Amino acid sequence: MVVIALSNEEDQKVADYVEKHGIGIRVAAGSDGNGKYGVRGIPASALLNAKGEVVWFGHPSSLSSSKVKAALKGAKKPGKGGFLSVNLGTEYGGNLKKPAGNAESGALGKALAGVRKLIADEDFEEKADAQALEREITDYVALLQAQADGFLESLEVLTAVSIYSGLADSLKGQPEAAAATSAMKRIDEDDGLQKELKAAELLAKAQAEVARRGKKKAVKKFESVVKKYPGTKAAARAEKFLK
Amino acid sequence: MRRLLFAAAPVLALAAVASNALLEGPEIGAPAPEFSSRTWFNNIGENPSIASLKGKAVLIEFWATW
Repeated sequence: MVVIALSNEEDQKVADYVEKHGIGIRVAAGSDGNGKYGVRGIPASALLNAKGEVVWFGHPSSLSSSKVKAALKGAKKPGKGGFLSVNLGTEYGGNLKKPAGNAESGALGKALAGVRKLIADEDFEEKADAQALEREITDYVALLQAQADGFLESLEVLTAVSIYSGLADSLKGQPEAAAATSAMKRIDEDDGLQKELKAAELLAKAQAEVARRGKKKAVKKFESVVKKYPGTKAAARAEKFLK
Repeated sequence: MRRLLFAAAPVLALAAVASNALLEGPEIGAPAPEFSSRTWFNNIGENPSIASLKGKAVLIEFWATW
């Protein structure tokens, strides 16, 4: 089951709330969902089945497990490759089924190697399909790479590193791995970024503590982020939490 | 005429409230309306949308920080 939350509020408001409460699910700000779904009172939820149909709408507390079970019937599980899983726009059959499956499970290097082998194979006839699949994968890799660069630029080093390292591992043996590998090396050699990274790791632990044991018990962890890593983005966030 | 309108106003208002209540929420069984959002948090990869989530069961929470 995929869970997403939509709010029509300002970015900063939502960002602060997500941070303060250690919310891990995907949350949107500035969304037009309330209007599109005829939401009159908040909170409300809509349950969608695999066909993309609304099967239930109401107050979250009145959602029954039988409705959830029914919606899950025939639904794909979220890709086991996490964010590396490519959401393919087309279904690929024949020899392309295997590389397509690899792409969907986040084995991007394997998928690219497989599809490129087919493209190079003179006897293989569905070249256009193979090229389309290759394109879907490389487009997605480019999107992830650009996102990681954006995170790094805004000093979200921990998120950037998790994307880069995911890409580098998954793409091993393919030329697309180079950008992620070199970005990781740059981060490794930069003391300022290393400090940001360590601070962010400690902050993530503090946030996990909020989710697990509540705000009060997590206070010490946030304080140690401020103390140990002054001047970092994570420290500023921790300060905000402590306010 | 004016008096008649005044008398009718509460009735009209009530009718509006009733029809609003009936209109609450999307049509059950119909394709889920696509939505758009300015900014996503905690998301890596494609931004979630009805199109990109097709094939999966989805719970959408309509939510606010207040």
